[in-house]
Amino acid sequence: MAIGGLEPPVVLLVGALVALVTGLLGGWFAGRARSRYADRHQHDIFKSKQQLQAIFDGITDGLIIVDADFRVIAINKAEAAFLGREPKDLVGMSCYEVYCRGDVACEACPAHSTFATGKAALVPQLELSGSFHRRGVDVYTFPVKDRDGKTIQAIQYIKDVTDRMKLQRQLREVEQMTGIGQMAASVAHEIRNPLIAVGGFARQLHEDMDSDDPRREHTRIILEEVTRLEQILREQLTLERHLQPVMRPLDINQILRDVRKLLSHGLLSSQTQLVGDLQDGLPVTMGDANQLKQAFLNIIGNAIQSMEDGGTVTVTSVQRGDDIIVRISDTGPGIPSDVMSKLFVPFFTTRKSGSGLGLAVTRRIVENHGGEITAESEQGNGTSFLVRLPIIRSTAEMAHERIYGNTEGAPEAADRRDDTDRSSGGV
Amino acid sequence: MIKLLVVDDEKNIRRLYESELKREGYEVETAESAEEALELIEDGPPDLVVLDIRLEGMDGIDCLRTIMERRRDLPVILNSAYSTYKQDFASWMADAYVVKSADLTELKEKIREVLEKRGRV
Repeated sequence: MAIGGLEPPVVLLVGALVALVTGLLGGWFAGRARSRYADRHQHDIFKSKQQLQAIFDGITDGLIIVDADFRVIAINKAEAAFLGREPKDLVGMSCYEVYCRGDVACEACPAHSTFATGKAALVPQLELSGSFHRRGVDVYTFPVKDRDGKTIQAIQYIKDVTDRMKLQRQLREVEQMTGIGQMAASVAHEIRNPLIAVGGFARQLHEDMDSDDPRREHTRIILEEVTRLEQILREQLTLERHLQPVMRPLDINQILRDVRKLLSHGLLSSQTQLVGDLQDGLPVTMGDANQLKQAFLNIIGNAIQSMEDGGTVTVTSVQRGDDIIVRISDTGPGIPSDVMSKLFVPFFTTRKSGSGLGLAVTRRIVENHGGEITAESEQGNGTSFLVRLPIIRSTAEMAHERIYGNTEGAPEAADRRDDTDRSSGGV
Repeated sequence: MIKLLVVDDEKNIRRLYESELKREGYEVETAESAEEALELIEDGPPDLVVLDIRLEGMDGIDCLRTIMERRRDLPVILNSAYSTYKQDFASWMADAYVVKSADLTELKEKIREVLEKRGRV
């Protein structure tokens, strides 16, 4: 069964169910054709039916068999219980009457697709309301075919994922709390001033002590840690500030060239190379130049630092449809899979001196531009970061086109659009 | 002796600045609000003002405007925990903008620079 996320035992059970229903129908046709075996077949059918019923009612997730008009042929006990009814009361009703209280089949139902294609289908995370409570469900549908291969019925398998959906919602909330850092930012504000007093007076004490005073080691540690905290707070405040990008027309390639310039003064060494392969004539897009510079600086800086023994960082830019894709690949040691999942989590770091905010800030910036960032890595085979930025056109440009359309009144805008079309077709 | 006025709403920061800047050989006055600072300036203007931005009541940017209206020749250094205000063009009226840090080296340097430029030393 080519449906992701369905546990093997359930797949087996539902598979068996499909086989049984098909067998049952096959048996029924066969039974009609050869009447002299009627008794034996009747017995077989009875036995199959009993087995089918047992499986059907034994499954604790919801199961409904509907015909092509979405009329309920059978419904298992678990699903009927959720609706607060008996299975026999529901048979013959349309499933949309039961669930959507409507008079046409629910739009989201995957059975539409199953009847149309004869294949299994899935619609995840629907909200269904029963008699007492609401629940979140994944709905899978499987075809039941007649001898000619025509889909005559669909089995709806309704998996309760309320808990999972609740957890996901909570996770999103937590992410918002930590990621955007409303709370962290306000804490940062509160900590900053006292820290200045702590560090400032510690520095005074440090300087007042004789150079051979053993307590100088302690004041040195205080100063070192205060400096580290200040660094974290500075980045934290940047994280907050990055919420509002100032969008101006810009050329992504120019941003990448600027980043290269910034890096050439320090991080790059004779063993570490930064190679660029930038597509000519990328369309102008709207963005915050400083933020994007910061974002690429973080990724490329990380890549360079990951290659202690030298290597190559390759930066490519290319237009793909309505997006600009920037790929940053290094030849470093790669990222272990347990680290991979936490790569963009604020305050997560593997470096001794890192604050763990570099990539969190980067992701925030990219998302503020309507894009997304992903990473792939194979241990020993380097790491690639992929930044997808949608091409955002300025309102002035769009207004210009709206007024002049594609006529000769706006040669510049029209040319640019042609350009975009050609590239999106070609790439 | 050169007189500096430090405006900050945090008592311990005022004490730190006072102590550090006295060591540099300046006379130091402090104010905890923009209003108090403006009064002190009326009473006897300092040679330079170190001005925090986030203050209770009138904020540092408005305080800066008022100072500029009354005494164009009085140098002001903005000193904030936030670098965001740098983008507020009102802050460009100030002689310098120093982001607050436990390390006062940069602030001390800027004070020296501004005083020299304004011919106060």
